[in-house]
Amino acid sequence: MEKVIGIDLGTTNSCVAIVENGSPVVIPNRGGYKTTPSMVAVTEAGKRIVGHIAKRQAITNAENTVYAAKRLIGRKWNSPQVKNSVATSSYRIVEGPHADVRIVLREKEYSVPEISAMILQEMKVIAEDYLGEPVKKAVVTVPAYFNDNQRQATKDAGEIAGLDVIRIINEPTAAALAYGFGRNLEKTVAVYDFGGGTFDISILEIAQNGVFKVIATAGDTFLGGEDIDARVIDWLVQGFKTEHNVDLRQDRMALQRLKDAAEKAKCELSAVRETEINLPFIISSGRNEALHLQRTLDRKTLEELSADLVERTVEICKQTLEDAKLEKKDVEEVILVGGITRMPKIQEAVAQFFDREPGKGVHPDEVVALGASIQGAALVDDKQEMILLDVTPHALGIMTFGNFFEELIPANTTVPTHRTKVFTTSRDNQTAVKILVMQGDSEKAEENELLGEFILTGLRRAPKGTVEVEVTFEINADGIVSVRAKDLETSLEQSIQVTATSGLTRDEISSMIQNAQGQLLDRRASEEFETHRQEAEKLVAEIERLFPQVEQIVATSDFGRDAIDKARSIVDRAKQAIARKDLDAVKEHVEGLSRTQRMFKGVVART
Amino acid sequence: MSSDSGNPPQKKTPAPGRAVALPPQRSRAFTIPDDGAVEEARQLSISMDSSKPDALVARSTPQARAAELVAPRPAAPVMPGPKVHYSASALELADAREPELEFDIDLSDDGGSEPPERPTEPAPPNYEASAQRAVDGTIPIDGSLLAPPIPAEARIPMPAPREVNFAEDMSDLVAVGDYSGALEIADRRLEQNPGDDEALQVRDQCRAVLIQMYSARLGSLDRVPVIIVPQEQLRWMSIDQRAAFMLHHIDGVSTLEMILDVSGMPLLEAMRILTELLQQRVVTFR
Repeated sequence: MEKVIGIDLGTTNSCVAIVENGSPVVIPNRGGYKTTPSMVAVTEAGKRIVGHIAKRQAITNAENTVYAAKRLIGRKWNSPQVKNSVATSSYRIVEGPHADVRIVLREKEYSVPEISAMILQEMKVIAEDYLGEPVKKAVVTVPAYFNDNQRQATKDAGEIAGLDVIRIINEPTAAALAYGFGRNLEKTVAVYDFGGGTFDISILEIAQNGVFKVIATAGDTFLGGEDIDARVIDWLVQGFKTEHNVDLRQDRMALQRLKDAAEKAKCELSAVRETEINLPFIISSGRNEALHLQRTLDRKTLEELSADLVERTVEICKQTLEDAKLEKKDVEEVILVGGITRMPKIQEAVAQFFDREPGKGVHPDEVVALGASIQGAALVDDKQEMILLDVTPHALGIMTFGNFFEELIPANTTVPTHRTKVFTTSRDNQTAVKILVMQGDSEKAEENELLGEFILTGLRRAPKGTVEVEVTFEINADGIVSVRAKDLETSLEQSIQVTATSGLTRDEISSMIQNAQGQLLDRRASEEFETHRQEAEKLVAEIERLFPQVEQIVATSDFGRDAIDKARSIVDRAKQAIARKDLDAVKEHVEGLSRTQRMFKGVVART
Repeated sequence: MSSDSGNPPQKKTPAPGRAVALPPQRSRAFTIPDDGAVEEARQLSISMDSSKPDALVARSTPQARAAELVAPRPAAPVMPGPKVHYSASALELADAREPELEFDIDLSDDGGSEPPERPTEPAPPNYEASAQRAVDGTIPIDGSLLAPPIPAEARIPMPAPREVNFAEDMSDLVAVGDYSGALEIADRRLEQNPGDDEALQVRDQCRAVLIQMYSARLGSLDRVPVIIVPQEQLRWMSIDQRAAFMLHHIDGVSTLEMILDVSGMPLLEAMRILTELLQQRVVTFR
């Protein structure tokens, strides 16, 4: 059976999992970590780095390090979220050729799917290293509120990374899948997902036949665990300023260390009551005196620092339940997602709000990826059947006279679905109507996302309000939206099929795929060279260690001296091949070196 | 010349109270070095340049080179009594090659007395001997072994730097193999005149040589460095903020290449710091 990986492509961290022997497992990266920071950077030397290594230089190389690309994926340049990111990001965001978003790293422009592809490619490599075989198929998760363009952009990112994204599923759905795996649940669950950069709350119904239905979803894309880190950093900076009158924020190196230390302290305080933050030589004073930072942070202080952030999540939960017309008692289980939910105060707040203890049976960092892998395995296994029933994350409708948004399909409607409404003309003698298809939750049309437009012509000339036009929206099981406008008098009709777009053309995607494959090949070649280089260097060292002994033993024999000369020649050629990074030559010399080493060992052993 | 240049160490002593570059992280406390430090201290090469009577010539470190380029402080008065504590940081393990001095001066009010007269030429201190005796435990290091400190009230503004012939110094330094010294002068010249061809050439040459030197000392960039000094002891080491930042990236998993990549520092500086940390035995390789 073909292997399908499940990828949780997070705003701050990503995770990859696979089903092995019937059980889903998370695959650790080379550093042994089960999550990988969703960060991409280009170093001064032009090298592309992804994950932990990129995170560790995120402040000192802030202009060339992309974080939270997920907030930008599939969005239009003029969207408020993009404007917000432009104002708050340390890297440069510019307008792309199709009114999309591009990111500039070391003078080179990258599309957002390209950046996300680098992260997906890293996850692919992690899985391939673990499995020892190529991986081609993946199920990738996205937030439940992602619109069609964002979903398509995520699929494009997968394609650029060399992955066939066989399904995009909602993150809370994936979490619920993992939670309900093998348990045959029939419950209404709340998925409280407090990630590194975003907060989401979703209410799902899990039916006994394996049907998962998202009833409601909401969140804040600028609220996450990193905000708590920022509070700890503020606390440290303020304390240091009071003590030494030095502002650590002015020094990037100090700030990078503070950021890492704050995150570490936050994580530690979920398990212990207090932790020491010790950063020697954090900065030099104006008098060139080395200053050290040493402070103890206790859990109570951390809770005080983050109290309002936790409260905000609770408020969003409250609002979501109200929107879904649900009572707290309707929620039978609460699933926690995101590393920060290990914080006792958060667990306490969630328990207090929902009047029940959150479930602790799933790992908050891994649960989404595990769910994706379960869905992936189900999709390629004919024996398994799992139906995921999702809802429209946002309302769908058209723009009407006065720039208003008229909703046809409300948010949280289960798909597939279709709805019809009848409209009339807004001017006298109007012979054509323009149908602007939109997605969003605002009454003001301009605040919603334009999905497409078309014109219905041939209407009868008549006073305004007399000609009736029927508009029908239909969403099929694949999530494709069709809109039809029909003149009820003449039965003339016009329609449009809204195809999601990431903002990239087919040519651009093809070019990006090639580029990404080239990068991967270079990386693989470099890794292969490294393996052979290490082997060759080990053999060279061993041979050189044996040289004096062997020379002494064969000193009297012409044949022996000849062998020594040959051995020296092999060693020299191997060294030269390593120096010029010639993989083929190094591979070739490894054989000769092995023979020489065996021969030398044999000579030494016989004496 | 520095011992790095291959010349034998010379037994030269600084003029009393002369230009002293105080590195930022120096401990103010009295420090007794270990054997290695004393050995390194022996390598100190502090020489009086007869043509520049006011300058200490010490080319092994940037700080020392900076000292060469500024005018010295005036001779300091003798401060007798228990208020004065001083130590020779040149004896410390970490930067033992730096011919730098450090003073720990109690600047408390001494009753409003007049500043003491400046001494004529006090006897020059003998660092090697004092260091050796300190380690042997034969005698405690006391103030008589060091140049007298300058009381706060006796400090006077530093005079303007002497005229320096950068071109000549740069070439001289390259000629004697002091590439870091030459690079520093080349950088300074380029600050003043970015199109200075000679400085550009020297800068590139020096960088290439220094990178080669550091690469040779560090070995393969695939090696994984690890910190061997306990975290709580790090603050007692003679390192600076940049070295501490570099240590922050050493996690026992990342290779030298990765660390150089993520340090965000220019390659040359990052390699220099790693080399120094290796020499100071703060880090080693797996």
